Amino acid sequence: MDRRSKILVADDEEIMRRSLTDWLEEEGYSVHAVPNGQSAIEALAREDWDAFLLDLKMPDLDGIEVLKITKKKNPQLPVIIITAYATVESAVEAMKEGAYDYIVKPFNPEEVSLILHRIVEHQRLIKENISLRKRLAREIFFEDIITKDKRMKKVIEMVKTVAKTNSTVLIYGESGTGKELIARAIHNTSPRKDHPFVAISCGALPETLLEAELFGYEKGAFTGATTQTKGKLELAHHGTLFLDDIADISPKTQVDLLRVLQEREFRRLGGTKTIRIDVRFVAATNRDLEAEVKKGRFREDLYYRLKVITIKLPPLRERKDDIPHLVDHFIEKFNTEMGKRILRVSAETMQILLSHNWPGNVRELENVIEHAMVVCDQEIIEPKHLPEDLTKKAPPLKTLKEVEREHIESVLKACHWKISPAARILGLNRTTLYNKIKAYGLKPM
Amino acid sequence: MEILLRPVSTLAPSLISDLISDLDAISPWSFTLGPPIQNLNHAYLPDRGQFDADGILVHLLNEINDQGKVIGLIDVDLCTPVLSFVFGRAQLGGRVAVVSTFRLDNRFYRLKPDPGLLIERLKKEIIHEAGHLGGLYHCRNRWCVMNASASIVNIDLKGFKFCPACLNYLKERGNNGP
Repeated sequence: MDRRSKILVADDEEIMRRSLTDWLEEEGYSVHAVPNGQSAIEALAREDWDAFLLDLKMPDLDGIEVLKITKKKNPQLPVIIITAYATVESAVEAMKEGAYDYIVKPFNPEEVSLILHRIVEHQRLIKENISLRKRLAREIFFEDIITKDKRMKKVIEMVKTVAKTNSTVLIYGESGTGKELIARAIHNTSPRKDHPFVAISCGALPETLLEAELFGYEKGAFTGATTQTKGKLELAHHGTLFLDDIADISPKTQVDLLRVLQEREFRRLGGTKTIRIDVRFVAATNRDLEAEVKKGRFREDLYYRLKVITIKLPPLRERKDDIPHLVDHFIEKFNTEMGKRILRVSAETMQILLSHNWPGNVRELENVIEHAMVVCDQEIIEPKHLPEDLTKKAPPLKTLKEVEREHIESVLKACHWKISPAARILGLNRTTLYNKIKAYGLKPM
Repeated sequence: MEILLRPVSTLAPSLISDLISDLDAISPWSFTLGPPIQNLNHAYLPDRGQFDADGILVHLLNEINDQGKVIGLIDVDLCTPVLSFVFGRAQLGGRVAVVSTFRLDNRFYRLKPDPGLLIERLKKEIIHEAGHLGGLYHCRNRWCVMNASASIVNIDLKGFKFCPACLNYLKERGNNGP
């Protein structure tokens, strides 16, 4: 048997309350029945319910009034209106006020069973969805942002503060520093967390395609626009729109985006209707946007609209203390994903990881550990498991004389040891070249 | 544990005797035939043209004279104040229940009479109401006899047996039943 879902019943007729309670209890529900609207409102404030069966005709508070109060306080709660044949019109009015369904007394048991079963299943899915969203938000915040670095900790504190506001955020950071992760963290800890987080990579799309993706389009707006399509701006309504690589957008798109940021409204491509949106904007770039403004490549007004709050993510090479923690985190992550039992990296491997410059930042480190774990068939990752470009030793640095000797020798070889053309190429006179050949002990092979 | 079956006199005696021996074989309880129910007029609802199942339960409860359980077997259309019809009705975890053949009979659905099918349906409903007397709610397992009987199709789909969860509940309550 399932967990007993809780149903609140409000009906002024005692025989109806008793009969309904008996039947619903047989059906396996936990039931609480109240005789009037006021008691129902009190019960709704006191406890959580899975469904509310509400009689339309009650002496103190009319059922419609109770429904309005319920929907205001708990819009998710499904309310089923109980009505007699004579008041079906009122039931229709109740449906317009947000009632889930209505049932006419006496009920057909099959019909009511089906409605309740559907509600319970719907409620279960809503609860599961909320729980998964919460889990996702927690994971992104506390598991994916691994740091002991003071600068990164400051960033996280700032994200927590910023998240509560509605302000536009501009995130600076090199490729792979986790700009999207921060944007998701802002969304997931903001009041918008139960609405969509929509991301778009502005650098990846040509101007026309980016505009279609952002603003959507009406059927027939351009060749291939066979159906009306919503853009990312509409899809992010009540949520957050993450504009990655913002420095890459064309001057025309900059103007269009500026208008959206100012007016919070836009039109689909080929459309005439103005669409209002409630979206929080988070933009990101790996370029110096201020420098782009000075060079005239990025609009100053758009820049100031975006940089209400600025977050700068330090590159991994500037927070190398985080590398051992990140390595442990990725080993654990890939152990789960790959079904492996790798314990750690050896001291020698860690030394290599710490001495690398990490131009690709955390993403590059993650890829390196993934590579090593695929290759590694033991419990400890050794240098031989790392990608070759990380372990390949750079050739020893040469002195200027060594470089000069090698260069003169290679030019002489190319000129078949003919002194005049070689001297011309090297920019020397013949005597100087002879002296250098003698000094370096060069001989034709 | 014994359950007394009290039929109305209009139900065929052959149907009742076959029923009792079958119920003993397929259920965890022992069924015996009790005195017939004499009069249902007190439960008749003229405005609905049906009989109030709760009124019949009250009548059976008033006539009970020992610690046992009683299931009334009747042949009229049953309803409750909130439901347009019921196949049967029981006090959850209580002492009395009632089952009607009215909507179990093919003739109600304008189909050819089928006495064998009627007995099958009646047995399921009696075991189902006895399960309620034992404290069981409706079960989501569609093959379990405690699955809700909201339509005749539900009754034909389910079996005579309790699912392991319902059977376990009855065992925990002792004596494998009410």
